[in-house]
Amino acid sequence: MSGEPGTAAEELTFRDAAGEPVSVIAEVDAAESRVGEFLTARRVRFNGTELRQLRVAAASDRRAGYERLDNEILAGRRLNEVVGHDFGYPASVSRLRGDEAESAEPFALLEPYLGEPLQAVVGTMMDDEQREFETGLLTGLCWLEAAGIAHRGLTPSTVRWDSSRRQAQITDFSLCTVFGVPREAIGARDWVGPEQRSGGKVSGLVSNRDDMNSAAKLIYYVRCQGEPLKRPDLLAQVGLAYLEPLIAPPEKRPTARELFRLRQGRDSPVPRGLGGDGRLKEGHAVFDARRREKHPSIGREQPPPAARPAPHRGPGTPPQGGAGAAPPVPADSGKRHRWGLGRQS
Amino acid sequence: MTAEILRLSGLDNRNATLAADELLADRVRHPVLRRMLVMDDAAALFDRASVYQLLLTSGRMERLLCVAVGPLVPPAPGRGPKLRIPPNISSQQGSAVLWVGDPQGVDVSLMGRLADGHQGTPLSGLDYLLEVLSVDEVFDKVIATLRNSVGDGVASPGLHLAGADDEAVSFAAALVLATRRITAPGTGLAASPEGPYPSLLPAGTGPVHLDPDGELAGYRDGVAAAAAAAGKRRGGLLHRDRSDPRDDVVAVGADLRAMRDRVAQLFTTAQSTGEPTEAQRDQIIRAGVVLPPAPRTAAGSAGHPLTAQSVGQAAVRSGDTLPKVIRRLTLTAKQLKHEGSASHLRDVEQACPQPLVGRLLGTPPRPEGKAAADTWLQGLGLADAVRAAERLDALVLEVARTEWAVGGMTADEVTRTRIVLDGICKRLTEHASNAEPPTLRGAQAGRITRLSESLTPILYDLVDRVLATEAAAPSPGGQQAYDRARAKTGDLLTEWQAHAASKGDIFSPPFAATVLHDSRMYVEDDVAGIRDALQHDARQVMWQLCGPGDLGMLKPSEPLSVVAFAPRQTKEALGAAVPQDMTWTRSGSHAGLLRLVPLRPSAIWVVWVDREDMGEAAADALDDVLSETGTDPWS
Repeated sequence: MSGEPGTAAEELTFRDAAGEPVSVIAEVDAAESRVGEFLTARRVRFNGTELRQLRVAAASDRRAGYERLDNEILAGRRLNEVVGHDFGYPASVSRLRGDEAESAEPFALLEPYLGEPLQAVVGTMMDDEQREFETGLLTGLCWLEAAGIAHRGLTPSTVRWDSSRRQAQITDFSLCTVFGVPREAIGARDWVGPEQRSGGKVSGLVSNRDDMNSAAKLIYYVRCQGEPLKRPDLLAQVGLAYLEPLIAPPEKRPTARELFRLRQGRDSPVPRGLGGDGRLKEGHAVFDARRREKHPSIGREQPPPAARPAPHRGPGTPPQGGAGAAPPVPADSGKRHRWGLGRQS
Repeated sequence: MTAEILRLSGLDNRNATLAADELLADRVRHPVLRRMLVMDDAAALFDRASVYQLLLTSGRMERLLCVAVGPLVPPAPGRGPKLRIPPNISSQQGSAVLWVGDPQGVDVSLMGRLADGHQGTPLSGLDYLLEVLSVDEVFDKVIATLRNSVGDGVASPGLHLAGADDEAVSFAAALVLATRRITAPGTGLAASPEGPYPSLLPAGTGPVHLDPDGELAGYRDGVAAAAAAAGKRRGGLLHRDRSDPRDDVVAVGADLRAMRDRVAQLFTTAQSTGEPTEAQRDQIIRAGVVLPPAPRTAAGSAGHPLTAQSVGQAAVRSGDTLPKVIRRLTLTAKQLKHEGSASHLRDVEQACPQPLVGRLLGTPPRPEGKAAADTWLQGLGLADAVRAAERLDALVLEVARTEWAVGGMTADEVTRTRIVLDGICKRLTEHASNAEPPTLRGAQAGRITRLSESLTPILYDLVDRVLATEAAAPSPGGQQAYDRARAKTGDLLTEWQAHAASKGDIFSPPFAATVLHDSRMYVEDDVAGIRDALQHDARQVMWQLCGPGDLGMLKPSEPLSVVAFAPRQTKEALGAAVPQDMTWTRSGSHAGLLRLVPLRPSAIWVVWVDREDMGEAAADALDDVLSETGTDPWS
C-alpha cells in the first residue's frame, strides 16, 4: 500500500463477477460520498484497479439500505450473466465487478462510472452529442430489456454522459426490479411514469415499457439543454413528436428496441433472445432461490430450473439448496421487492 | 511594480547584513529588486558600507535610494553634526540619500524661521514619504532630481499631499464591477427582447409546395380522380351506369398505397438533422416537392453572413448580460432542432392508415340487391381515401418546411456559441467572486464606477477573442469547448492584469481591439483637491520631515527642486493647470508635491578614504572651507 493521504489499507473479501472468491488488501479512501438516501460510495484500489465501493450508509434505515444494495448487486450480476462472455460488456450500463452480499456489512464493487451526471454536463452537450446521448440511452435500455430489468430511477443524476468518449451510461440500479412484478410507487416523481408515481394510480406489472417514460423525459431534457419536460405538447415544439408515445400509458409505449429501430432505421446492437438461453434462466433461478431463502413469502417469477449452488449467506443462515429444492410458494400479491438477496437486518 | 523597502533602522550591523542577505535571497516573495528603498539610521549610515556593498553588488538592484532617519551626530566631540555617507551610496555612484531628521516633521516655509508641529494625519511623515517613494515613477524622479539638481545628492524631503486613488487598486475594483455587470443574471442595460434571436431562425415558411405535375401530386390527384370516377359509377349503379365501380375503388387504393409508400420512402432517404445534402435535395425535388432555391442565410449590416457568434457578440456589446444572451441562444437552438424527416414516419401511418389501404385494395365485388349494395357502398371509404391523400399532401409540405427547407444556421452552431459564452461567463463570475469585494464610498465609488464603464468595451473584446478562438479551431465536444473557453478567459484576464501591472496601461491589453487612451474615471470635482496640491507654492509652508533644530542643516536653493506627481488617470481631468514637469503615476494613493531641500555641504561627509588615512578633523575642516556661508534664513 502506498499509503496516500486520506486513504487506508483494508482487507476486502468478495466474490468477483464470475462468482469466484477474492481477498485483497485494498487502499480505500477515507472520504465517502452519499448515494441517495441509504447508500454511500468510496474509492478503492487494488492490483492497479480502481473501483467504486457501494455500502449501506451507517446512519440510515439498514433494511432499506440492504434492499437498495441488493438491487444494485443483483442487477449487476444479471447484466454480467446476460452479457456473459460472448459480448463486450456494454459501456451504456454501469458494471458490477464484485460483491459481498452475505455479511452484515455488504458491499458492491463497481467500475468507476463514465463521465458526469447529466445534470452536470447537460449545458455543455453539443447538438450531435445530444443525438448520440439518445442512441446511447436507448442502447443501455435495450440491454436492460434483454436482462429483464426495469431501472425505475432514471434521472439526470443516475444517467451520465462522457463527453470525451461520447458515451451515455445508465447507473445506480438501487431502485430497479425485474419485469413482471407488481408495480410500486417508487422513483423521482418528476421523472417516472404515472404508473409508478406516488399519489397516482399504481397498478399492473412492471414491464419493458415502464422506463420509456423516463427515457422520453431525459431525451427532452438533453435536447433542450437542461429544461425538464413540463407538458407533452412541448415535445412537438422541438421536433420530438416521436417521443409522444412514450408519454402514453405503459402498454402503448414502444419498447427501447422498437424506438431504437424507429430512430436509427436499424436494429439495436443488443442481440435478441438473450433471455431465452440457459444462462439467464439459471441466473433467474439463483435469484429466486436466494429470495425464497430469506423471504419465503415472496413468490417466484418463473419456473425455476436447476440452479447452481449459491453462496452461503452468513452466520445463522443454512446453506441454500438448488432452486428446485425450494418449496413452491404462492405468487406474491403485494408490492414487495421480488428479487432481494435478503439479509438479517 | 513598486520599489522594495528594506528597513535597517534599529539594527546593528550584523543584523542589518542578515536582513539585506535575506531580502536578496528571497527571490520568491521579492522577485524584482530593481528599485531599492533603504530606510536606515542616519547615525549608523557610515558604518553600513559593507551592507550597501552587498546590496549594490548583488546583481539584483538597479537603483538605490536611502532614507536616513534620525538626528545627525557630530563625528567627534566638538565637531558639528554631520550625515556621514558611505561612498558607495553617494550621488556619484548613482544613488541618493534623503535625510529625515524627525519622522514627525514640521510645517515650515522656506522663507520663514518658525516651525509648527504638523497635525491631522494618522501616519507619521516618514510613513507617507515611504508610501510616496514606493511608487516607481516617483522613486525614479526623486533619484534623478537628487542626482541632477541637488549638489551632493542629499536632501531633506518636504510633503504637500492630496489623497488620490491607487490606480492598481482602482483597476482591480473597476474590473470586478465591470465583470459583475456583464455576468449579472438580469437583463442588462438594454431593453432588448427576450426570446430567440429572429435573425438566426429560418426566414419563414418559404415557397414550399407540391409540383402539380410531380409524382406525389400525381398520386394525390389520381386518388381524387379515381374516387370521383367510382362515385359516378355509384350514381350509375342506382340510376344510369350499370358498370361495377370496384375497379375504380381498387385503383384508388393502389394510388393511395403508392403515395403512402413513396412518402415513407422519401422521409427515409431524405433523413437529415441539418440541411439536406444535394443528393437528398434532388430526391425531394424528383418526388415533386418544390423547395426554396437556396438555403436562406440572413446577412448582417456589412453584408457578411450572420453567425451565431456574430449575433452573440452584437448582443453583448448592445448591453445584454451574458446570462441573457445565453438564455436567448438556448431558445434559438431549441427552435432550430431538426430531427429529420424520418421522425415523421409515424405520422405517415396516422395520415394514411394501412387498414384503409387494405380495405380499398381488397374491395369485394358489388353484391346483388339494393340493401346489400348500399352497405357495400358505405364500406368503400372513398371519402376517407381522398382525405388520407390530402393529409399525406399536407404532411409532406409540413416536413418540407420544417425539415428540408431549413437555412444554413444549425442548432449545433448556436449551441457551440452558447457553450463558449457559458464558459466565459463562468470564469468571469469566478473572477468577480474571488476578488475582495470593493468597499467604495462617495466620490471614489463614482470614480470606480466610471472606470468600470470604460473597461467594459475591453471586456467585450475579451469575449470576442474567446469566441474567435473557438471558431478558428472548433473543439471536438461541448465540454471541451466549455473548458477551453473558461481557460482562455482566465488567461486573458491574467494577461490584462499583468499588462496593467508591467506597462501601467489598463486600456490596451494585447487582446484589446477597442482603442481607448484614457477613461472618464475622474471628473472636475474629483481632482479639485489634487489640483490645489499641485498648484501649491513649494516655497510656502509644507510638511518638512525634520525637527525644528535641523532647519539649520538645510540650505534652500534656487531653482527649488520639487517633484510634482499625480495618478495618470487624473491627467485628463486636471487639464493644463499642473506643473510643467509632472510625474504621472500608475500606482499609489497620493498626489501632490515632494520638496527636496539640499543639506548644507558642511552637514554631509562622503568619506572616500579610510578614517585611518584621513583624520576626521581634517575632513571637517575641509568641508567647512568648502561650505558656503550663505545668508538664507535657516543658516
